[in-house]
Amino acid sequence: MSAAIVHIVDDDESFLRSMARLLRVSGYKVRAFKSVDEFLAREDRQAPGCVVTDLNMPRRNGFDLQSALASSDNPLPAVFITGQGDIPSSVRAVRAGAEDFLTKRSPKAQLLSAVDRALERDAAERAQRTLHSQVRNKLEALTARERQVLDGVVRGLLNKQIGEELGIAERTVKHHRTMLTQKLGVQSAAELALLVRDAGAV
Amino acid sequence: MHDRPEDATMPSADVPPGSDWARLEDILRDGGAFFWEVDSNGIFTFASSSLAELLGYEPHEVVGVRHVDSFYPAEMTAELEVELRNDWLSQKRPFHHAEVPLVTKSGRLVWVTSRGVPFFDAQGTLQGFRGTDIDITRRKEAEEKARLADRFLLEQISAAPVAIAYTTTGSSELRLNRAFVALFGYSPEEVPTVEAWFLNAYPDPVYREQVIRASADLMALAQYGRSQAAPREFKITCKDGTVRDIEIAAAMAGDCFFGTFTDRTARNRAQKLLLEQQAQLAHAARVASMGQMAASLAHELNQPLGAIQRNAEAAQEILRGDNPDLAELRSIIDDILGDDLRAGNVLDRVRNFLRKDHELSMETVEIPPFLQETASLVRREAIARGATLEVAADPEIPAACADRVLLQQALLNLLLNAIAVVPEGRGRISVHAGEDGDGTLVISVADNGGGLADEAAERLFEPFYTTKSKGMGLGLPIARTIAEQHGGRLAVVNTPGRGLKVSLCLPFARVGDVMP
Repeated sequence: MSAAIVHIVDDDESFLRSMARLLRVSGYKVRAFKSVDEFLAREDRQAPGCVVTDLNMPRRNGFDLQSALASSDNPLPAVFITGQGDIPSSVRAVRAGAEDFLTKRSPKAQLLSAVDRALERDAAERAQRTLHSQVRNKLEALTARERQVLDGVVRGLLNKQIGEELGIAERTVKHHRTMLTQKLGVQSAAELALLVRDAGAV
Repeated sequence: MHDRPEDATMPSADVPPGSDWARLEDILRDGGAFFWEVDSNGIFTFASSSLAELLGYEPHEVVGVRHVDSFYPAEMTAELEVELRNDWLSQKRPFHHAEVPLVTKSGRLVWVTSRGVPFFDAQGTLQGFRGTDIDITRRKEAEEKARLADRFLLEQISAAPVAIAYTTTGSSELRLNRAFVALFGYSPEEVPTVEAWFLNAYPDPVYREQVIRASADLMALAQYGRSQAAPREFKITCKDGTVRDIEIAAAMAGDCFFGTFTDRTARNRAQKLLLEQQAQLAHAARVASMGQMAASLAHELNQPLGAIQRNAEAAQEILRGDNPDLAELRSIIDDILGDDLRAGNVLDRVRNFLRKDHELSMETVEIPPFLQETASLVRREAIARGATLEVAADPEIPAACADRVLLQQALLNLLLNAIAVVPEGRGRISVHAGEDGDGTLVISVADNGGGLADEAAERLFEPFYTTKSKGMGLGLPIARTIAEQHGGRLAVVNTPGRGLKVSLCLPFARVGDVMP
């Protein structure tokens, strides 16, 4: 995994330069962009990191950037920066999933901790996404019958009940259960339930 | 008249036609001149036949009558008796009475000029007088009429409700009417001449000199070319020491030079008050519009301040290290200074814009940067409304001579109006500056806000009329006043359903070529 990048987006070149400078000397790997479009067209689109973006920009603004990111396959967390922190846009930004909402003149410590939190969140979400995809791959290896049995296990049914529901013998249910715990690499029913929850869906 | 009786004293028979006598008789018969002779007692011995035409008497009616008792008005008789004895008969010299009243047979008064010469016998004894009376009644009447007319005119001038002073060319004597005396307090005796007037009315010698020069111009204009010169305003010091704004109009009539003096003090004061009130209102509106531009202003300030802060924080971080990057620190300081200047400019602009004692002051305004700067004051408001704000100015456009603050206020009003009416999220506002054919600068703001309904369009310039919930209704009236103050106008093109285009049309005025 390559190093996390802090992407800065601001239409004000002078502010953009100062922000990039501060984060760079504070030890971050930084990329600066003068507009949302420039950012969306960046190279290294899969790189981990976060976005620090101005909210009010001509043409596409911070919210546009947010929604474009959310629908991409690399939904980096965003920290919004605005000239003046008015309540309606803060609320809107936070609802839209903004990691943080800062003003142009928030203290450095606040800025850096917001960036750190965003990077941590990206790392966590990235790990989560990796786990999800692994679990999904495993789930996809199950047969249709094994999935039906799994569904019953997750719902907390006994083997007997699952067998009645599916119209198969209890012994056959037991057999499917052994197969799928082997395929998914888990030991107990509790573990199985956690795994399915982590995957987000059966 | 043909068969009147024979002339008592003239032989009319046997006068051959074409002879000297015949000629003389024709002349004597003419009514314009009456020829007569009296003896040494003052008794008529001859009267020409023209008497009939002059006074209605036939010559035979007066021959033998004492001249004193003849045609004079009764009240003159006593005076004439004295004259007859003292002058005529004793002095024996020719006489000439310029104007003598006579009474006709029918009682009408006529005026004659009367001349007479004495005649003597061989021994030098006075025999009598011979002479002519010439009718001057018509001339006399005409003169009387003219005299009356003059007197009437003078009375009118004197009673006129406007202050008038007049003088004749070649004289410095000054005449004043009653209104003049009432207005300034000087009596005719105090300012008997034009010079005395100048000394009293304009005590400051420098100003007096200017006024005298201007007056000479006014007189020259009145004398040559036009009979009336354009009025001019002067500051006149009254008897009681107060100084009044007086508009003087001059006119030449014959050799008479008239000046009318109109007091403009109250009007000027009212006008000044009006201008002050306009300025106050414009200031209040600027303060109000500042509120509408709050987002842009905060942005304009936060941007450089934020950059300064980040740069300073970066510098601190760099200095914490063992081997600080001096080149980077230098460029940080450059950036900080640049942003500091930027923030300072924003504040200067705001301060200028909000200055209360703003007086109309014309300066050279480069239009393209002016448009950019003004647009930047509301750009955030446009963005917040999801509107695009495009600025296009012909780079070749000449600089305008304008009051920057007021022009900016006018343009801001148009921009704020446009931002308020465009549809949320798809507004389009374009600012354009160009020069039209006849040397007019046209700055227009066009929007796609749907235009105005007829009623709103009609009331567009009505103060306090607004279609906005938070509007003051002063934006367009103020913009129009500002355009007019620059000798220009505001043009509105309303396309209902589409949008509104409002243009500031200003002449590329020269400095000082501006209405107060």
